[in-house]
Amino acid sequence: MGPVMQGLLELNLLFLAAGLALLWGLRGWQTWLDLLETVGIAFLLGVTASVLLATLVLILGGSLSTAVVLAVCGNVLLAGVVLGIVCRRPLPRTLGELPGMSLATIAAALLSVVSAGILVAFFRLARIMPLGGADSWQFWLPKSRAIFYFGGIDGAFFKTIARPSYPLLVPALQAMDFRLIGSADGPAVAVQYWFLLAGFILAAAALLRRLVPAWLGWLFLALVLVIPQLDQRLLNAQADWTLDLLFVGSALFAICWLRTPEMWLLACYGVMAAGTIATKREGTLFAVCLAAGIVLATLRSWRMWLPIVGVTAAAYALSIPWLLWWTSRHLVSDNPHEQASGLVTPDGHLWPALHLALRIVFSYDFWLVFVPLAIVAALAALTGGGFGRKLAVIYLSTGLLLVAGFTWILWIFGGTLDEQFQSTPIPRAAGSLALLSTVLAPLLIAPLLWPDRYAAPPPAS
Amino acid sequence: LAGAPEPSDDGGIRRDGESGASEEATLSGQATTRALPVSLAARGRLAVGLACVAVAVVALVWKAPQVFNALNASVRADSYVQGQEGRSLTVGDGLGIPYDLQVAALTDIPKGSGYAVLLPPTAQAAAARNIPSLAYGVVPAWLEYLLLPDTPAPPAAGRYLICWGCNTAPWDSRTTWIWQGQGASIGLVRR
Repeated sequence: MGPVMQGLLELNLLFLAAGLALLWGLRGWQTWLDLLETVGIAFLLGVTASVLLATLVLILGGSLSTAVVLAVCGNVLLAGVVLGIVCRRPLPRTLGELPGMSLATIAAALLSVVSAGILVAFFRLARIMPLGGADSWQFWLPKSRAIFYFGGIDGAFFKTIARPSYPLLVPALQAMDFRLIGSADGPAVAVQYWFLLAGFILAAAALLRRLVPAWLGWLFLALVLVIPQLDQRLLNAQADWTLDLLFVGSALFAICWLRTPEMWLLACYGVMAAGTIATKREGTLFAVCLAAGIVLATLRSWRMWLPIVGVTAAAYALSIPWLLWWTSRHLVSDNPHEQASGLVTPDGHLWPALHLALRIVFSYDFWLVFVPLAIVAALAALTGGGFGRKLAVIYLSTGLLLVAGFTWILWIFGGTLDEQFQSTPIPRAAGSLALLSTVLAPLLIAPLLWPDRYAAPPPAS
Repeated sequence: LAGAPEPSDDGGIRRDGESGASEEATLSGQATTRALPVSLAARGRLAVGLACVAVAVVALVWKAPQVFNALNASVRADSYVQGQEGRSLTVGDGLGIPYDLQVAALTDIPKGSGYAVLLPPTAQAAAARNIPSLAYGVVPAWLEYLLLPDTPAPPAAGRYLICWGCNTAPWDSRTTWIWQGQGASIGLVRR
């Protein structure tokens, strides 16, 4: 193993250790199998919490030296351990019960093997592929390399890089990679994106398994790996799929919390939502759309929507230091409404913008058929009752709000929309809705197949 | 509806501490009921659900081998690229920026130096000097990425000059050209 792979592996093991400690502090484990199943959740939690903390270090004028990277992960780990001790969380003492042999178990195992096979192919490519995506070398990697070489974000050079006001999570993550690798090896971060994808798939499998049969969850998680745009762009050193993975991760935690209101799920939702907002400027839009969708679906129960709104607001509050940092330094805003004349443009592009947004969202070449499939399942679930109906409202309202958001972005950007099919950020932003559709599809389908199981109201927490 | 899938031993709603393997319970805490949907609407929903699963299975069976093969083909196609620098330089090469110019800039400009990029004044003038329009537009940004921790500077302040298709005459008297090739030059400015 070369120094590049060794550094990347060490950093991601640090993230995993931090995440395991945090997850233990939040919920604990009864069995070793329970722990094993939640490894993906722990990784996703660890990487997001650690890098969020690293962004705060940068904003406060710190660097991301090896000692700081270790301290950041160590602090997350320590916080989890303290929480676990204070809350007397259980540690696994027994192996747990292995799934019984059945057709469904075999199907789940087969589908997870298919997913693993595609992930292995992804990994082989990530190790050798050239740098991909123009944005990667135009501003994402220059930012992370600047952090690596100049010790932080306060140097004059950082402020001259394109998109200076973009959130910091991805540059901070890449800079941490470089520190552990020992050099600013831009193309090497493709492997980091692979770790994020693998962690997401494992986390989503564990979360989906709480609500639907394992084979149904794995069927759609395997399908996530064949989404054409994911295959084309995931390993590029950009932030689009990172944003989408965190966004859909937050949606899964929130939905699981709505079904079984356990506090650790809400806490994980908060971390994922904060990560979503700290990844790209669209992240705020996505987080708001999701929270609004949940509020719409749970309007009658303030005990459901109020915590979601509160945690989302707290997640947004974590982005305020960055907002203060770049506005206090008079950096150029990249927000579309500040590039154009205002929130409403008089150029009559609203309908073409909506048409283009819909065309992109439903593009078979980009996302295959998973958006229409999830919509069909959601519409069918809407005619039923119980949790399936609630899920359908969340999915459909979040989707509608996202489409409205994409339309708004296109509308504000203006220009000749037909020529922007490839050049606007919308084809990339729409990955959020495509991934959301694919991952939520099993949750929308399950109530159609087993209505009795989802008809019961959630238990009291 | 006899063929309707029943909740099996690997699914259902689980809470912390449950193995998920055998002790399935509905959220109401009652044993799993096996009542089959009987209304027309329920039959319709079941049909939609089964159709969605069928579409998903077909999509996976059709697409997974394609994706697997495409990823492996990409591995074979990219296997010629060697090393950290090679994985970046090949991208610059693809943008139309001469490979040798990139290598020389990395090699000949000491780390941490300031450099200025000098290009023809217009895209037409660049085209006349065989500089592709794409490369003309992106070369400053590409070099900014590639050469970090070297930083770009105005021509009057840069210690080094990277000239690609530029007029070197104004600089010749105070510049030592340390690399030349493919219509490009790298010079050390005496200040």
